[in-house]
Amino acid sequence: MGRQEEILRVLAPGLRAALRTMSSCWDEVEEIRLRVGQPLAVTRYGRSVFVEEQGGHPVTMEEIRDTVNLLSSYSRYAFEDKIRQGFLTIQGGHRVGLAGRVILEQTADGGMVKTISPITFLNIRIARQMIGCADQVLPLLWERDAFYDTLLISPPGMGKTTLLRDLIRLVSYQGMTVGVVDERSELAACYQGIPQNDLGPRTDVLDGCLKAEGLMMMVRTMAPQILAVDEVGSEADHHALEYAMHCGCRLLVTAHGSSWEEALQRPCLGRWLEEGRFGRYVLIEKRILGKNRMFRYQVCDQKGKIIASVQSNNE
Amino acid sequence: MHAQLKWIGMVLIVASCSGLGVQLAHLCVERIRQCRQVEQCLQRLLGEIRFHQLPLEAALLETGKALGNQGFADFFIRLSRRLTGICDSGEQQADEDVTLVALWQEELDRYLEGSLLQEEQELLLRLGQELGTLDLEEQVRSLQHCLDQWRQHIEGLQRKVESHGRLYRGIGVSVGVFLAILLL
Repeated sequence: MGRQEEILRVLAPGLRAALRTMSSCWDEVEEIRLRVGQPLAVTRYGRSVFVEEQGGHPVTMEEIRDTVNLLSSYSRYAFEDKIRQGFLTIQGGHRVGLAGRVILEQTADGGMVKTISPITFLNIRIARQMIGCADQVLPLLWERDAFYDTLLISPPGMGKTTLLRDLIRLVSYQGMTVGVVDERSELAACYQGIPQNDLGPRTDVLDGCLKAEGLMMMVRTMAPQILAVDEVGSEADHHALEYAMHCGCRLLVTAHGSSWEEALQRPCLGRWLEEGRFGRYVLIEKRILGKNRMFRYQVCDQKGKIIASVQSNNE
Repeated sequence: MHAQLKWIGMVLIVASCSGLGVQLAHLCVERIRQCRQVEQCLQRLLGEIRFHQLPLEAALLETGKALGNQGFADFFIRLSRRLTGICDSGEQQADEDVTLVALWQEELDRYLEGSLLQEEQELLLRLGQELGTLDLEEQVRSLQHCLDQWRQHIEGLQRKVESHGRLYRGIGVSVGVFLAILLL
C-alpha cells in the first residue's frame, strides 16, 4: 500500500475526495491538518496551505468523528492510553496528533488527563524515513571498536528523531544489538507491535513504554549493547540512563535544545553536560531552501568542542 | 375394511396435529437456544474488550472462532473480515465508504434473515451503533447493558415457552381429536 493510500484510508470520505484533488503534489505534503469548521489544510515545505476544492473544504464535526473512528479501527477503547497522551500511530508509522476538549480525572496530586472528548483537531504527520541521513555522522561516533555515548540536541521539528532513527538502523546493521524504548511510537512507529520503520535486524523495541521504566526493562531483559531513547528530560529518565550506563550499555539519546549553551541550562541535562557524561554530542540545524531541506550536523567532543560538521540534503 | 380405514385416518389426523403442536413448542425452545448463543457471543466479546482490550476486528474474530464459527459466531467472523478489509477470497477489498454501523446492519440482515424479533433487532442495532466509538469504561458499560437487556429478554422468552409450549402441544392434540370427531 502506498503512502497516499495509507493516509487516505483513515480519512472520512469527504476529506478523501478533497485530498485526491492534490494527488500530483502528494510527495510534498508533510502534514494534514483537520480543524472543525476550518478549511482542510496541508503543510508543504514548512508552510500551511488550504486544500482548494471549490473554495476550500471546511471540515465538519462528523468528518472528524468518522476519521477518529477509522484511525482507531473502530476500537477507540483499545487506544485509550494513546488518546490520553494525545496521539495515535497508524499503519505506515504516520503519527496523528489529537486535540479537543480534555476530560480530567481528579487525583491526589491534582488532576490528570482522562481522555479527549470530543476530538476536534487532528494533525496527521506523514512519516518519511530518511534512509542514509546519518551515513556521514556515524563514523564520527566511533573510536576503534567502541561506540561513544551520544546525545543529539536540536529544537523540535529539526530532524533529531529522524537522525536517531537512522543511527539506530546503521548500528544495528553493523552488528550491534540495539534496545529502543519508543514511548511515543515515533522511532519504530509500531503498528500492533510491528515496527513500520526499518530499525535494522538487531533492534528490539519497547513500544509505548514510559522511558524510565522501559530503560530498566530493556537492560534487565534484552541485554542491549546500545540503548536508544528519544527526548529525555525528566529526573526519572536521567536516573534510568545512569543505571543503564553503569550496566555497560552505550547510550544513543536525544534532547531538546537550540544550542549547547541552552542545553547547559536544563536541570539534569546541564549537569550531565558539565560532567562530560557523553562522549559525543550532535547539534542539528535545518534549513529549507526552495524544495530542498538541508541538515547540518555539528559533532562535538566530550567538552562540547566541535570536531566535525557534516551536511545532508533531502529533496 | 371401511371402518378400519376410518380409524387409521383418525389416528393419522390426531398424530399429525399433535406433531404440529410439538414442533411449534420445539421451535420456541430452539429460539431460546439461538438467543443463548448470542448471549454467549456478547459475553465473550465483553471479556475480550474488557480484559484484553483487543481491537474490535480481533475481538470479533477471537469470539467467533472460540464459539464455533456457527450462527451468530459466524456473523462476528464475517464482520471482522469486512472490518479488516479482507473478503473471503483473501483479496484486499476496502469497504471504503461503509461505516461499522452499516456493516453491522448488513451482516445482521444477511445472517439472521429476518429471524429476529423486533425487540432483538433493536437491541443489537443499538449495540452496533455504540461499538468501537466509546472509551473503555463506556464501551464495557454499553456492552454490559446490552447483555443485561438480552438476558432479560431470554428470561421473558423462557416464561413464554413454558406456558406456550404446553399450550401448543395441548392445542395440537385437541385440534387433532376435534377434526377426527368432525370427520367421523
